Amino acid sequence: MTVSGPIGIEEARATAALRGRRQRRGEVALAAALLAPSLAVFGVFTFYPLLRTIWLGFFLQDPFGLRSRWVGLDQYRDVLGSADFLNSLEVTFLFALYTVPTSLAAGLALAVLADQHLPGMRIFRTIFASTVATSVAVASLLWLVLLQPSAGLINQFLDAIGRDPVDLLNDPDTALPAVAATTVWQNLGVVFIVTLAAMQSIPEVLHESAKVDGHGTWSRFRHITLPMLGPQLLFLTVVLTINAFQSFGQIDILTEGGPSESTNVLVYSLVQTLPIDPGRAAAQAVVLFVVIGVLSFVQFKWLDRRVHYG
Amino acid sequence: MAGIRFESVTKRFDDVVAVDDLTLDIADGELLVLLGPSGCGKSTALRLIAGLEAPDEGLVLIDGDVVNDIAAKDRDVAMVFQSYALYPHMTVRRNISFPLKPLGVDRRDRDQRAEIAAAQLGLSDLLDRKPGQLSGGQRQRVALARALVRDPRAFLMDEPLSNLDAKLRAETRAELVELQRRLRTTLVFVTHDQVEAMTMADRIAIMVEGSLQQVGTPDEIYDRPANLFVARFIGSPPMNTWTASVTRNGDRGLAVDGAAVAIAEPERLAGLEAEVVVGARPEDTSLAVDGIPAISTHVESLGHERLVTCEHDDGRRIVVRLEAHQPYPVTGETVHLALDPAAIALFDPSTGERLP
Repeated sequence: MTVSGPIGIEEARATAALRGRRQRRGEVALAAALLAPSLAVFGVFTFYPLLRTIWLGFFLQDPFGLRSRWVGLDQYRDVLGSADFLNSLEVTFLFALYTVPTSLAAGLALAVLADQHLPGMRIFRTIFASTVATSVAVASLLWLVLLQPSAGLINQFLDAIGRDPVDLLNDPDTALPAVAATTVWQNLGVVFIVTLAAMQSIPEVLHESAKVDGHGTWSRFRHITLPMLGPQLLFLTVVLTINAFQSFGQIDILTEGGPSESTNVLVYSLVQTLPIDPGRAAAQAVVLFVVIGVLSFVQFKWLDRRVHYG
Repeated sequence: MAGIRFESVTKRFDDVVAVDDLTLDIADGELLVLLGPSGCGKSTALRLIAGLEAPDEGLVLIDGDVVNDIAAKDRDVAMVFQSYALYPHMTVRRNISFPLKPLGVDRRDRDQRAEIAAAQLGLSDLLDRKPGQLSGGQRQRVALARALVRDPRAFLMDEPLSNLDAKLRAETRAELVELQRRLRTTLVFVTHDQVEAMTMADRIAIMVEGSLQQVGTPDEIYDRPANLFVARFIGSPPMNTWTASVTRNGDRGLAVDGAAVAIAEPERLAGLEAEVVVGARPEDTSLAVDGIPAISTHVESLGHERLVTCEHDDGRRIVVRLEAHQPYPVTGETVHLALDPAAIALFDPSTGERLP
């Protein structure tokens, strides 16, 4: 009788293990079934094009993509070594450098203003957030009109106050900062909305406590508001950087990459290359992809440690 | 260290009068408890001292100086909030040392003083944690340490114990009192819990609907409540009250529902009108052969004593406190109640004010 116990347990264990394995297999099948639709969509629209682009980068092609010749990594080496590409890379980095910190600072400043309990703030909130609802094309056309050398509002204003007119978009020294400025304006809305929402979720009692503890407005902003916006600022930094590296619309409408290549960012240059040399454009796209990937990774690694997730 | 004074202070929020013409002196080094039901204006009064609210009328003085126009950050008081208001992104060490930063204390001194404050409250092992990693009791201690760290002119505490469990609350209560006695720093403590008020306070100030009802030591408040509100608010269970008629058969006497009620000093009744409210604490109310009739509704045994709840004719609840060994009635039984003639309190039936 004493033996039947352990055997019983062993059997029970074996059955349970078998049942467990079966159950796990069932769960895996279910997981696969549930993932299949999104995997299919991603596969067709993301993974396949990505792999295909990398593959395409290994070929020299005629403009119609018909005759192609395997050149392997040579094309990538060629792209990375070309003066045009390096210029575009530099312009793009500068563009990101001009737009990302400025957008964050300006949007945050507006959010701080809108967070004050002042009369009429609702209207300002709507105005500040409105650039989110404006497309790149509309915004760029708007700025094109404002910056237009002869009839543009900005030069009319300068004229009225007795200053010389400017032609910001046609001067190689000012074209990139001018395009960057319009982009900052575009970014304001999203930075404003995200930071304001986060700011309003900071419990008022933290500020009250800091006040009683002797901290003034700036100190509270520096030590409470800013660190508590960490997750949102990290998110915005990464997203705005990616956006900056992918900018195309404003360049296309405002400067077409000129004057003298001073605004020829990577995506614009890529789009110019595409109809002439698809293989080279593919290689450029892959390099851009890697650059953005590395940059985002570094940002996450470097900033994430400094961010407190509440 | 400093005394605090309210001079005819009124604070309104839109149409609601949160604090109504409050005049109150808090002595230097005193532990004053502001007690009242929720919404009575006690927290607002505390926030007026802190500078988180500005009075609409009247003056707030700290250490003899009017502080109406002095910003919260310049008042040199420390506050512990009900929610503790710890900064979630800072370690315990930085939370505690945060009030030292505006004082220009350098980092090493700040850390050192934070460590001393933390040690006083048994937080030494938690200095590098963040508030999210602490229990409720530990958070409460961090909030206290943050208040202690800079030796402020006064401590203001807004229901700091209400989020703790009963055992921890009782322990912390005793520790707080001990701490305050040691530091002798003025402490204004807001609570709705009368046990906290009775056990901790040098003096209690009772507020209701924005106005101050009574200020006094716990014993004064318990033994000589200034009005019916205080009488029914303080004491657990609270004071029993009846409407009594003043009889004039020769000497004046009292009668409730036809039953005569003896009073130790009948001259107290001189000059009274036909009706008066009679009050007696549950321990001054007893079962008798003859007396005010009531029906026993239930009996609670607390081990060392029994609480007999009775219902008066008008539906009012009356509680009698009996020693454990005394006989007690069964539910539904008609009982007769006698009041300790020396312990009877008298109140004006129209104003509710205490009569001498």
